Order: sequence, then structure tokens, then C-alpha cells
Amino acid sequence: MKYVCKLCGWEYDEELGSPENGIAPGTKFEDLPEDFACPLCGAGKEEFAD
Amino acid sequence: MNITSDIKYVGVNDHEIDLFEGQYDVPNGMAYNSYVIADEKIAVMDTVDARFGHEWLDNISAATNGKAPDYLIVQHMEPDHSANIATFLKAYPKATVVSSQKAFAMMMNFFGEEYEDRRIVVGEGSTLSLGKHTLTFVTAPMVHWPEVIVTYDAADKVLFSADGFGKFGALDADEDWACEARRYYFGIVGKYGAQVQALLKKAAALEIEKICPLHGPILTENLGYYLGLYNTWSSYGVESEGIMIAYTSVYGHTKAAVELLAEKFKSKGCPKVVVCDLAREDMAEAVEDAFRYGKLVLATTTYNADIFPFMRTFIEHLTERGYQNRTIALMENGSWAPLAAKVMRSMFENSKNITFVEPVMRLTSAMNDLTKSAIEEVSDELCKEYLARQDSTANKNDLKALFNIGYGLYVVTSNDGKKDNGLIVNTVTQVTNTPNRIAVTINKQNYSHHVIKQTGKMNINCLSVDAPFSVFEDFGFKSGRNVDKFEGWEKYRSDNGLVFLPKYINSFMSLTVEQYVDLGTHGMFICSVGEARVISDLETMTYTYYQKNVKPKPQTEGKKGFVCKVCGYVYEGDTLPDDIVCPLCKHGAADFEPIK
Repeated sequence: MKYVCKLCGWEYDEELGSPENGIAPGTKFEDLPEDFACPLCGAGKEEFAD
Repeated sequence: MNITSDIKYVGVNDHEIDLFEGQYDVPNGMAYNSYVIADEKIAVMDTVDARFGHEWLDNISAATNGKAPDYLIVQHMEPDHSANIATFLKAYPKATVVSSQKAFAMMMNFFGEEYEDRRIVVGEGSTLSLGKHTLTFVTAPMVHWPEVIVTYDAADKVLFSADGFGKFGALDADEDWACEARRYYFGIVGKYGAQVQALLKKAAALEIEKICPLHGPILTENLGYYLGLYNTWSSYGVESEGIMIAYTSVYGHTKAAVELLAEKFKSKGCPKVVVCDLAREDMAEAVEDAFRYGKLVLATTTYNADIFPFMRTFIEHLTERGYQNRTIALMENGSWAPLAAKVMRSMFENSKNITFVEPVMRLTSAMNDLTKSAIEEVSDELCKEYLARQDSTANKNDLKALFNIGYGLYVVTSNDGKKDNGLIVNTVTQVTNTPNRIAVTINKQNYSHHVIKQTGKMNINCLSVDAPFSVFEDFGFKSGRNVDKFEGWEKYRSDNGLVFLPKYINSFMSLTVEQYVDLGTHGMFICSVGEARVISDLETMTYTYYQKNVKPKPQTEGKKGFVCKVCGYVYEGDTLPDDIVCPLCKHGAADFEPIK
């Protein structure tokens, strides 16, 4: 499942994760930490949509 | 105009524009700023709006004495700054475009060109040397577009801030900076507070003497003032003391109630009251004021089983921009089925830290006595601190002030020679530190007072936030004269032989009494400190925390009678016996209050 930051367009692909940001591939979006921030623009999880 | 010896202004003023960004009324026009940095290489910062390309190119030519610029730095792709990229590159065929990866992708979308053979792609921390001036690029994603970069020139200590620190109004407009800068900020950038905060953090590491934005004047002095405002705005803090009333009124009845409310605020000492007719006044100015002040009153009529359209638009502007950290009072009108307040309240359901003041002020077509009494209540609540500060209206005998003295909570243990005892007090304070002395005050009615006066020793155990109510039941509601309070507790002993608790404390200290002060109802023991241990990192439980989170709410629902304020015990009956002793905590009639 892919999630997009509504603010800046950065994409989070659950299959790929975000290893450069310490997120292992396969990590589900709902399992990302509460304080997870978009690595591009800093938006919080609430600004993401699937 | 020269900004520094090498940096020149080549922007333009626009007095023709009717609506900036397609929505903002700009009675004093707009400025589109652009700058030339003339060094061994010449760089031009951004372009200008489509209608001013020729004037801008003339300005550049004059600024460089006809020399061709080497670089066009594109910080932001919004068309009021990017429209003349192609025009520039046609006029200067040897120039290179410098911008972010995302910006080039946008150039493809806007112009069908991304200049692969004449460009430099920059990112966070990239640099470009012009000779004496080395430019460093800093990304500013979502301030207010994703491709935005800002540029720092270390030689002249100039920050080219893109749209940040801009304002409405052409450069020949003689007006206050903050007002139009605030309307601009909340309108255009307001949603991106977090992203602005991130940029301010990066800027704090730079030595900045001048700020060159893409709109509004160049800022050269007192930069702390501008940075301070941007910090307040982007953290959704309250900038000014006062109350804003935003209203819609179709036939004048809601307006009359609003005017009465405004009068009440002023008479109760509110330093600033702003009243805004959302239908007739500038909507962006209304939005600006809602963010400027900490208290907002929304007054509107029920309309089509919803709310009046200008109020809906206004609230949507606020929530879209992340409105938070504020207090809101509601006024509604309805000639048959009023529900405006319910609708307005629900529009803020995803907004953080919004406090609604009760009651809702309701008009049924026109103001009535209920409306007026609600107006009185709401104005008292919103003006609480103003009334308290004003000499003529302050309650100077409000002993509730004493409840605001902060305390921790402590289990004080002692031993009468035969058995261990303990009680809970909040009255423990360190009074000196050379040497360390601690004062502990105990009610003479407590058995521990007698024991400590005799033995001169005690341990004070600092309760931490994990202590459950049972600790208070064990040590607070029983008497050590009759009962072994430590039944069921594992006992640890300190060097002085007294107990310290096995859990629920973050530290304890062993005290030796040096002085006793007789205070009539209480005795104060002033002590030196012996053994002192830190047990955990948990926070000390404050008295406030206990009242809010630990003390159970009394089960008074549906019951008639009296409730013990200390422990919540309910006495059901029409009258409270004068000699009543609370079976749970032993307090007397004075600590009971009627159940409402």
C-alpha cells in the first residue's frame, strides 16, 4: 500500500519502507511511530492519505 | 536601489493587480522583488510576474551596466516569480539556470522545458561561488511550495528568503509592516507553521544582517522583531491580548447582541476588542485577526439547517490553516430550530487545543433575557484575568488563591518505640541550603505530630506519579493510634531505623528535628538532612495531579445529601449531623458539602 504526503507529495511505499530514515521495508503505515514526520517537508502522519 | 555594494534591487511594483494570488484584495498593490549579485560572475535572483518582464529586463541591464548575467537562480516556481524564466534565457543565451530538482520538474509542467543542457540542480547545502560571494542553498519545503529553496550569501550576510518575510503592498506603499505581513502570512503560508518553524531553525544557525524577500521591503534592521513575529505566527502562539468577535447578521438582531457583547468586554477591562462583519469586511483580514488574538467569539445564524455561508467560509479558512491553541465562545441565532452552535463546534473537531467557553449565547430571532444572562456569563469568563487585574473590579478577598500554591505529596514515617507510623502531608519545603534544612508541618491532631515531637526523627518519602489511591487510603484516611498502617506493605528501613516505602516513591530523606515552631493548630519541624536517596526518575506527584488524576470522583450521581470533600464518601440524608465523623477518612462536618 502506498501513502502520499498531502502537503508535498512524498510517497511512502509500505513494501519498500524508508531504510535511509530507519524504517524497514514492509513496515505498515499504521505501525510507523506516532511522531513520524515526512522526511521531505516535516508533515505529521495525519497529513498522509492512501 | 543598492542593498549592498554588490547586491542591487531589480524588482518591480504592480499597481494594476486586482486580486493577488487570485484571491487577496491588495489596495496598495504588490511588489515582485528580484536582485542582482554582481561579482566576478553575475547572478539574478528569481524573475517577476508575467506583465513586467520588459521592465525587469531593463532593470537588470541597468544594474549590470549591460553585462550579461551568468546565472538565474530560481528559488520558487509560483508564476508571480517564475513567469519570465524563458524570457530571461532568450535574452541571455549563455546563462545557466540554478534551481531544485522539483523546480525543474515544475518548469516542465509550466513551460514544457526543463533546460537539461543549461542548468545546475541544487539541494540542501549546495553552494555556488560567484567570486567573493559564495551562495549556500537551503531547502524550505512547503514554505509554501515543495520546490522552494532559500539562499544565503555569507559575504554580505544576506538571506534571500523567497516568499518568507514578505507582505502585501508595493514598495512605494507607506504602511505598517506587521499588519499586511500578517495578513499575507496567514493567508498564504498559515497552514505550514511546522515547515516555517523548521526553516527558522535552519536560519538561526546563520549570521543574517539583511533579509531580501520576494515581496515587500528588504529588512535591514531590528531583524529580531521580524523573526520574533514569524516564530509566534508559525508556532500558532497568541500575538496580541484581546478578543475578536466574528459575526454574520442578516437583519441586525445578531449584530445587536454582538454589540452588547463587545461593550461588556470593554467594560470588563479587555484591552482590545475587534468586531468583524464577515459578509462585508475583508475575509483575509478577518482570518489574520483570528490568528492574532487568543480569544474568538463566533456569532452566526442557523441557515438551511447549517450556518450562514460567510461564517462557514471563515471557519474553513481557519481550520485549513491549522487553527489551534485558542479559546472560542459561540453565539447562535435561530428562528425555529437553532443549531448553528452545534455546527460551528463540530467544524473544529479535528483542531488541536481549542477550548470552548460555555454557555452558548442563543438568540431566538432576537435577544431575550436568556441571551443577556449568557452574554454576562461568557464575558465574565473571557475577561476573568482583565477583571482580576483591574482595581475597580478585582475580587481582593479570593482565598482560592491559596489553592494555587504548588506542592508535592509526601509520606512521613516515624516510630513511637513500639510501632511504625506514617501519614501523608503536602507541607514539606526545603528552607535553606547552606546547610540543607527542610521544614515539615504537621497538624497536631495527627498521631505522627506527637511521635515526631517525642523522637525528633522522621523520613519523608516523595510520592511519584505512579502512586495509586490505595496509598492515600492507607496513610491518609486512618489513624496510626489504632491501626497498623503498614499492614500489607513490605518494609525497608533506612539507617535511622525508620521505614521507607518499597514503591510509589522517587526518593526519600531521613530528617532530624533541630527546631520546633508551635503554630497553634499545627507544629512545624525544621530539620537537618541525613540519609538521602533517589529511587526512581518518575516525576513527583503534585497536589494538583492528585486532585485531577488519582482522587476518585465522588459517586454523587442521583444521590441526595452531602459528600466528603476529602475522600468522596457520600452521606445520604436531608441534614448533615454536626458531629459527623467521616467513616472513611475521619474528617468532620466542615469538610462536607451538599451534593448539587
